Amino acid sequence: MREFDHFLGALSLFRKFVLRDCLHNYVRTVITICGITLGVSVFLAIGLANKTALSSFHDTVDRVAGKANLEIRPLTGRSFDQSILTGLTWLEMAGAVYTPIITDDVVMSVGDDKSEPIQLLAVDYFADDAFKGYEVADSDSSGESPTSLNGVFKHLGVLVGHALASEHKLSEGDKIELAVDDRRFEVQVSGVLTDKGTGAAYGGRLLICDLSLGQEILDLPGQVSQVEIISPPQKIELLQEKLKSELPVSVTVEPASTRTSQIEKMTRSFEYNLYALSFIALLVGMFLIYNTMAITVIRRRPELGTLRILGLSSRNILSLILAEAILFGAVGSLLGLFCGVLIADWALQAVAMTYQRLYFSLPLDSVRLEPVILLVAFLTGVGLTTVAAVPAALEAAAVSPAEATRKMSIELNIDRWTLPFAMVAFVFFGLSAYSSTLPALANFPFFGYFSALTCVFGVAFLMPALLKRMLPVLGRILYPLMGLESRLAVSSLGRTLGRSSVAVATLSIGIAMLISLAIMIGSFRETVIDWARQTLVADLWMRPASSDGGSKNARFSAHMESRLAAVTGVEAVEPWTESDFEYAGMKATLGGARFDLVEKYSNLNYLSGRSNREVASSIRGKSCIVSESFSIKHGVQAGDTIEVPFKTGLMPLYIQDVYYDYVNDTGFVVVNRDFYRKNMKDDGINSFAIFVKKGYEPVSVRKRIFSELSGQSRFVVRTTGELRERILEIFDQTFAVTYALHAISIVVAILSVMNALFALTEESRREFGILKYIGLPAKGIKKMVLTEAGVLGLYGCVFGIMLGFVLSLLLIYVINKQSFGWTIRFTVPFDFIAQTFVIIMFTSIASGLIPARLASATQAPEVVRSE
Amino acid sequence: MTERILENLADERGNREGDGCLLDIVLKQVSKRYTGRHLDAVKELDLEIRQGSFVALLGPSGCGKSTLLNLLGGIDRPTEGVIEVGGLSLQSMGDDQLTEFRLKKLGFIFQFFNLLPTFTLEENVRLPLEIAGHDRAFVDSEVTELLDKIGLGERRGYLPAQLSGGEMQRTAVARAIVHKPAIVLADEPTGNLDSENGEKVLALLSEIHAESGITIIMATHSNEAAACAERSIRMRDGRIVSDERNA
Amino acid sequence: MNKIISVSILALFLLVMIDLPGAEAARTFKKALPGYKFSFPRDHGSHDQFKTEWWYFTGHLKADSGEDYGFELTFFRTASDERPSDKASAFRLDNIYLAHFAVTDKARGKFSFFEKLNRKGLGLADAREDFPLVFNQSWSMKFADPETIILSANGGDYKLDLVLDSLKKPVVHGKDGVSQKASCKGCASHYYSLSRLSARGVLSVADKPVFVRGNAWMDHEFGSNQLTDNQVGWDWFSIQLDDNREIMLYVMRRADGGIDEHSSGTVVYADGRHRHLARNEFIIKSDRIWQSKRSGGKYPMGWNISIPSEALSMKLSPVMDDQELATGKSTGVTYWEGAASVSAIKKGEKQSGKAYIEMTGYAERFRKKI
Repeated sequence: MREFDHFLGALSLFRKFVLRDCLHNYVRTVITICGITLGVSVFLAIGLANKTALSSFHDTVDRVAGKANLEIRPLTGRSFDQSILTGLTWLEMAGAVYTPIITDDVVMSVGDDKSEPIQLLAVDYFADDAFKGYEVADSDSSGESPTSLNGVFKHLGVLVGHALASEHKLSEGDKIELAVDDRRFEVQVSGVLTDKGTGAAYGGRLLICDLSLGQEILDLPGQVSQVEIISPPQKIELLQEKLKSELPVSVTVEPASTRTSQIEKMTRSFEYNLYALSFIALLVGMFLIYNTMAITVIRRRPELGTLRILGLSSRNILSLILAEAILFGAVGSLLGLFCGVLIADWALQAVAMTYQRLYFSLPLDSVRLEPVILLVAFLTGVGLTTVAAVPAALEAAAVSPAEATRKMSIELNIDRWTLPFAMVAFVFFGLSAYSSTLPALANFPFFGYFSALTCVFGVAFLMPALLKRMLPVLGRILYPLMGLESRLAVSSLGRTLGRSSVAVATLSIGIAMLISLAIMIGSFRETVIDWARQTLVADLWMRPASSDGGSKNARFSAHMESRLAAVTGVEAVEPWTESDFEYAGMKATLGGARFDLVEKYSNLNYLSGRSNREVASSIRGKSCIVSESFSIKHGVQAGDTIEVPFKTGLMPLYIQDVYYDYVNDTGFVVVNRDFYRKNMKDDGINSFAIFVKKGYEPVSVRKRIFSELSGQSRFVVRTTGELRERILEIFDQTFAVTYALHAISIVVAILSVMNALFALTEESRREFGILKYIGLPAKGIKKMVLTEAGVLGLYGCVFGIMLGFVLSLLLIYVINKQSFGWTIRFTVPFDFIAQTFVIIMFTSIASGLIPARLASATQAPEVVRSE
Repeated sequence: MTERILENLADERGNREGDGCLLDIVLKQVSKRYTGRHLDAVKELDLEIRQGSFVALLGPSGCGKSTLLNLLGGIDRPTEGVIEVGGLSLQSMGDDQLTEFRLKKLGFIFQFFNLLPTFTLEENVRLPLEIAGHDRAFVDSEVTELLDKIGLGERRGYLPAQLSGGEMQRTAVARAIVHKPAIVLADEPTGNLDSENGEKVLALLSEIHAESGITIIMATHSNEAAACAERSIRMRDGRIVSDERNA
Repeated sequence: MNKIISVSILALFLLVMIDLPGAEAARTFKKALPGYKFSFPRDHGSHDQFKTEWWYFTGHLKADSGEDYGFELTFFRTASDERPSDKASAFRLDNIYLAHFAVTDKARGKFSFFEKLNRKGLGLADAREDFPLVFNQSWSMKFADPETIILSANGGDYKLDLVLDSLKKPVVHGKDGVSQKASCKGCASHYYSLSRLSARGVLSVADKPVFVRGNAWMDHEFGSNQLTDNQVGWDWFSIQLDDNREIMLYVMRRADGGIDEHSSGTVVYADGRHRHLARNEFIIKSDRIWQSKRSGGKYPMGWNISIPSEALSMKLSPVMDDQELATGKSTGVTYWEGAASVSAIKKGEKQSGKAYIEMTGYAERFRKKI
C-alpha cells in the first residue's frame, strides 16, 4: 500500500510540477516536441523506405525461387546456353528435380503513350509440382486442372499477375502489347494469377508464360536465365560441388539467398548514407532537447531549491527531470511515428528511382509497415531525448537547497567550464582530423562519419569560448552603429553564455548541415555537368524504346549499326553494349565499345591524365579500361590484371587506365567490341552514339533516321542537349531526399533559436523591468531583444558556414569517395550561401519579434517591487 | 497537539534522534565563510536554543542572520564549529539524512514566499506530507483542518499568482507547519508584506507557537516583528551582540 | 443472279486470300481411315501426323520369392492444335509426352501410381518416329529387336526393369486396319496389340531387388479423334487364358446408359490367328459396385463375360478394388486400371488365366483435357 501510494504520489508530483509547467509554457513545449517529431519521422520514413526496398527484393527472390534450394545463374551476361540442361538429367537419379526459367523485364503499353516496366517470367508449365509456385484464379467452375493446359497450347497465352490485372482490368482473352528491345509483341491473357507464391513476385506486376513463348518474346533463342533446383536437403552441398565442377565458368551454382545478400551488400552504401542523413535530423533535435531542458532547469532553480528544502532528495529531482525528458521523448516520438508513416510513401518514391536505376528493377509502390522499425524509431527518439537531457538532469539534481533563498537566479557559472570545454573541443577536433584520414571499413566510410560527428561536437564544446571572445568585439563594432541597446544586447548574451552558446551551436549545426550538403550536391552537379560536357561529345544518342520505358537490357540487333551508318548525314556510329557480371561477389558492368571510333571521336578523361587518343588506341584484345568506381571498390589500378568472366570462360584483362564516370557506383570494365562479341557471344547493341557529318544539323539527321529506320524498329533519339538534361533530371531525382532532409534540419535549427529567445526574454524580465525603470523606452527593449536575435543568427551563420565548409570537405573527399568512388570537384555555390545567410538572419530576427514584444510589455513597477 | 508532536518525532524507520523527543539546538564556535569572500558571514557563534522557544534574530542586512538560519536548517555547512540538534551533530549527517531531517523536523518560511507557481494553494501546503509518503486520506484531513484554521480554506484552489502577498505568506506558514515539525525557520517573513498583512502573519506565528511546542526561529530587521518573539538575539557583522528575553 | 454469284465468288475469293490479322491457322492431323497398311517394326515407332498416340503395357509378375504383382506402364504422346511458331525453340510444345506407371502390390495390399508430363526439349522425353523408342525422363520403352522389348520405370518404392519377348505376331484390331469407335469418319484409331509377351526382369521394392517372371500385354494405338459427344467413356478388357488364347474387348458406353454399337473385340488363337468380335458376340455382366473415396466414382467390380461363339464363359475378379489412378497432373483423367484373375463361372468347369481391365468415365465424364 505504501509503495502504491508512493508511486501515485510521484505521479501526482510529476503532474503538478512538470506537466503543468509544460502546459503553461506551451510554446516551448510545442517547439521542443516538434523538434523530436521531425527527427523521428524522418528517421522512420527513411528506415521504412529502405526496409521496404530490400524486403521487396528479398520477397521476390523467395517467391520466384520457391522451394528451390539451389540456383544456376549466369556470372556474366543475362542468360546462358540451354544446352546446359541436357547435362543435368542425372539430377533425377540423385533425387533432385530441376526446371529452367527465362526472365527479363519488358515494357507494357498501358494506352496512350504510357507504359510501365513489368517482369516477364517464362517457366515450364510442366515443371514438377514442387516448383509450381503460382496459382491461377478459377475463371470457370468446370474443374479444369489449374495448369490450364489449354492456355499453354494457346501459343501466345500469358498469365497475368494479380496486381497488374486488377489495375488495368485485364481478364482472359484480353490482348497486351509489349515493347521488348526495339520490337513490339502482342500476347493474349489466358488467365489471372492469385497473389499466392510467384503470383505476387515483383509486386504482382508480372506475366508468366511458357518457356518457348518466353524465348520468343525476349529473342533469346537457345538461352535460359536461370535453373532452379530442389535438392534433398542432405545432398545440397554434394550436388553443388558436383555441379560446380561440371558447369562452365560463366555460370555459378548457389542458393537463391546469396542473391539477396549480394544486393544487400551492394545497396549498403546507399542505404547507410540515407540513414546517416536521417540521423542528422535526430541529432539537431537532440541539441534542441538539451537546450530546452537546460533552460528549464535554470529557470526553475529556485523551485528546485525549494523542493530540496521541503525534503525531496537529489535522486527524486533527477527522476523528475528525466521523466520530463522522457515525456517529451515519448510524445514527440509517438507523433513522429505517425508523421513518419505519413511521409514514408513519399520517401519510398524518392529513393525508389535510385534503387531501381542502380540496383534492381522492382516495383516499389507503397511502404510496408514493419513493427520492428516502428519500435526502433520510437525507442531511438525516446532514448536520444533522454540522453540529451542527462546533463540538465544532473545539473538539476545538483541544485542545493540554498538556491531556494537566492534572490536572483544565478546563471550556471559557465565561466568555470569554458576552458575545460574548449580543451575537450580540441580533443574532438584532433579525433576528427585523424579519423578523416582512415580508410573505409567493409566498403563503408565509418570513419568519415565519425570524423564529421566529432567535428560537430568539437564546435559545440568550443562555442562558449568562441562567444566569450567574440561577443565583446561585436559589441564594440555595433555600439557606434546601433547605440546603447546593441551593447546591452551583447552583454546580456554574454552573461547568459550557457544558454546563448547552446542556441548558437544548434543553429550553427543546422546551417552547417545545410551548407555542407549544398556544397556537396552543388559540386557533384557541377562535376557531372562538366563530365557530360567533356565526355558526351557525340551529336545524337539512340536507344531502344523499351529502354526509356524502364527495361534495362533492351537491345538493338547488330545489323542496326550498318543501317544507321548508311543514313545520310551520319559520319560515324559508335555502338555500346553492356551486361552485368559478378566480380569478387559484387555486381559490376562489362562494356564493349569500338575503341577505334572512341579514339577518333570521343573524349574520355583518365586518371593518369593521358590523352584519350593514346589510351583508346591501346585497347585491343585482352586489355581494358575500368571506371573510377570499379577501381576504388576493388582496389585495382592501371597496370593491374583482373580476371573477368565471359561466356567463353575467365579472361585475364590488363587494365590500361582508369576513367572518370558517374553513371553507376558498381563500376565498369570496358573492352573492345570485337573481343566482347566473340567472348560474350552477343551481337546486340544497347545504344548508339551518333556523330553527324560537318554541315549537317543534328536535328535534321535525327528526322532522317526516324524516317528511314522507324519502320522496323522502335527507338528514341536524343540530341546531346536533351541527353544532358535527362542526366541532370536523374541526378536531381536521386538527391531529392537529401534536399528534403536538409530543409528539415534547418527548420529544427530555427526552432532552437526561437526557443532560446523565449527563454532569454523570460529570464531577463527583471533586467527589462529595471531598464524600464531606469528609463529605457519600450521601443528600446524591443530593439535590444531583436538585436540579440540578430546576434544569435549572425554567429549561427558565421560558425555554421565555416563548419559547413569543413563538413563538405569530409563529405566530398572522404565519405562520398569511399562510398561510391566518385571524384568530385569542389565548387562553392556562393549564391546559395549568400541566400542562406540572408534567410537565416531574417528568420532569426523575425523569430525575435514575439519575445521582443513580451519583453517590452514587462511592467517596471511589479518587477521592482519584488526586489 | 503536544502528543502529536511526540508521536511524529519517532522516525518511521525506527530511528530515534537524540534522547527523548525534544530537539534542543546547540551551536559551538560556529563560523561560516563563503567561498570567494574574505570575511566570515558568521563568526565563532555560541548559541543554545531550547525546544519550544520563539526566538528572533535581529539585525540589519548582512549581519549574518540569514546565514545562521541556513546553518541551522542544514542548508549550509559551517566552516568551523559544531551544530547539534537534539544531541546529533548536523555535520555528521550525510545528504540523505539531512534531507530526511528537513522533511520531518523542519519547516521553512521565506521572505519571497517560495511557493511553487504551478501548485495551487492547497497543493503547496500538502507537499511536505505527500513527500513524506502519507496516504491521501490522512493528508486530506490534516490539510483541510489546517487551512480552515488559518482561514485560507476558500482560496485553496487558487494558484500563487492569483493570491495576495499576505495570502501567499500565510500559505507558506501553513506549509511550514503542516507536517508538525519540531523547528520552524523563518527568514524575514514580513519583509515583503505591508504592515497589516505582516501583523497577521506574526499573529499567526505567535498563535502556532502558543498552541504547539514548536521552536520558531525568526530572522528579521524589524524591531516590531522581533517583539512578538520571546527572545531577541541581536547580531552584527556575524556575531551576537545581545541576547535578551522579551517582555 | 449473275451479280449475286460474282459477289459471292469475290467474297469467297477475298476470304481465302486475306490472312486475318493475329489468327494462326490451326494444325490439321491425319485421320484414322480404313485401308491403313501396317508394317513392323516401323509401326512400333511414333506417328507424329496423328494427334494422339499411346504405347500401353500391362502385365502380371510373380517374384521368385512368391509375391504377386500387377503393373501398368503407359506412354502417351499428344500434339498441339495450334500451329507452333516459326522460331523453332527447343521448348516448343508441338508434342507433349505423358506417362503413367502403376503397381498393384498384392502381398502388401497396396496400389501405387505415378505420372510424368514433359515436353521433348532438352532430352526430357521423346517418341521416335524412325525407331521404336519412347522415353519420358528415366522411364523408357525400346525394342531390342523386332520381337524383344525392354521396359524401365520407377516411382516411390518401386523400380521395374523388364525384358519382354513377343510370343505371337502383332494383332491388328478392327476391320481393314482401322478400329472404329463411332459412326463418323475418322472417329477411329489404328490399333494393334502384342497380346502375349513373356516377361522377365527385376523389380526393386524399397531397394530390395527380386527376380520376377510373368506375362505382359502391349497395346499401341494412334489416331486423331475418338469419342463423340454422346459417349461418356469405355471399359476395356485384355484377357490372357492359360490355354494360350487371348481376348481383347472394349465397350463404348453412351450417355443414355447403353452400349455403343461400335464396341467390339478380338480373339487371338494359340497359333496366332485372330478374329474380330462384333458387339453382339459377347455379353458382359458385372457383380457389384465399388465407390472410390478418392473421386466418388462408382465402378462395377467383378465381371462375368461370355462369348458363346468361342464357347467361353469366364469370371473376372479384380486383385483388389482400389486400382484407380487420379492423374490430375498429366492427363487430368481419373480412371481405373487393374489386374484381375480369370476363373470359371460354373463350378467344375475349367477356365483360368489373367486379365487387365480399364474403366474410364466413371469418376467424371471422360473428356480429354489435352
